[in-house]
Amino acid sequence: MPKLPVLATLVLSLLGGSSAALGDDAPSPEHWIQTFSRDWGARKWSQRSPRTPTGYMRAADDDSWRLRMQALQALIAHGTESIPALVDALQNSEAHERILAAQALGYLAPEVPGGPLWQAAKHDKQAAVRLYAVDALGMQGDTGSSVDWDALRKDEKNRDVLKHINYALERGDAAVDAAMVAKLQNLDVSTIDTAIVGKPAPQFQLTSVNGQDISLADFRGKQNVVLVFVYGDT
Amino acid sequence: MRKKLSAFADLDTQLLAVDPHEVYSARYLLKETGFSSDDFHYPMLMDPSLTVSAKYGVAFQMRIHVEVSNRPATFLIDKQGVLRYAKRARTFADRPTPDQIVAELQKLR
Repeated sequence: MPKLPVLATLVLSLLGGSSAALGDDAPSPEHWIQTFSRDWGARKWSQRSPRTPTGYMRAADDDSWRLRMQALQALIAHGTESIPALVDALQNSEAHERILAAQALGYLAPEVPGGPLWQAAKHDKQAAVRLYAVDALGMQGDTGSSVDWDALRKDEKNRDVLKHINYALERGDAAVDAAMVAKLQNLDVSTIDTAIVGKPAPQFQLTSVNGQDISLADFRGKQNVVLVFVYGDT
Repeated sequence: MRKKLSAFADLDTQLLAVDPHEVYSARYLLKETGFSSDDFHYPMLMDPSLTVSAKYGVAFQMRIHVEVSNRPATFLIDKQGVLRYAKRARTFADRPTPDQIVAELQKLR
């Protein structure tokens, strides 16, 4: 089975660009959205359960998440230039495109017009779109405090979207952190999916809930590390 | 996993958790449940840029609570920084037990 991230790389080489350095020939935000949409939309979720009859986990051999990450990184690297295409995708397209668009707009939030995000948070039929639009409204920061959160809460029936409204309010007036967005903008996409047993583990530097900066390098020569990726919800 | 923290300490091991959200969701949930971040017995690292989740091959693979979020996974990195064990969940409940982790750690000695 061909690896679809390779397809993206072929497209890039045809255009003479590279995802690491955006030149005039780099694929447009529209192109990234379309490439992602075709690839992601062609796969299904597996692991059906009573609560998630349409599946909740990607199959183990489904690597479409890699193209999704490349697309997200490219869209954020394009910065404000991506906003028109993302707002368009938020309003006009298939559910999985609207979900990616809402998520991406969060990272660009301080520059995003609030109207389309509000419409998506209030009226989109997909809870996932409303959830990410709620996140994005919060990520706008000061402008987020002009959002009528009570109006959003009033008719919302999905418990996860309601939780995210509370998370947005927890922010106070804090906009999305520019240094965090820069990490995503500067991600070297060749490092995606490079945790391989027997090889050096990918480096990281992250901040804990209580504000402590921790790097993998801190433990070198001192301790083993058990690294557990959690869902991050109740 | 918390019960094994003393076993981890005896094996020169630090447990770290990675959460793909900004800090606000964790803060809200701590308040709601009456805990403070001091109650965490191990660091809960936040990865909202998803760059670490992507490098470790877990991003965008599970949607339990509507979001397109991380596949649960456990990795073991030795003192030379080499990845020695990786378990990415196939289903929601598919995770190594704390005893299984301790057994893997003992192999590193």
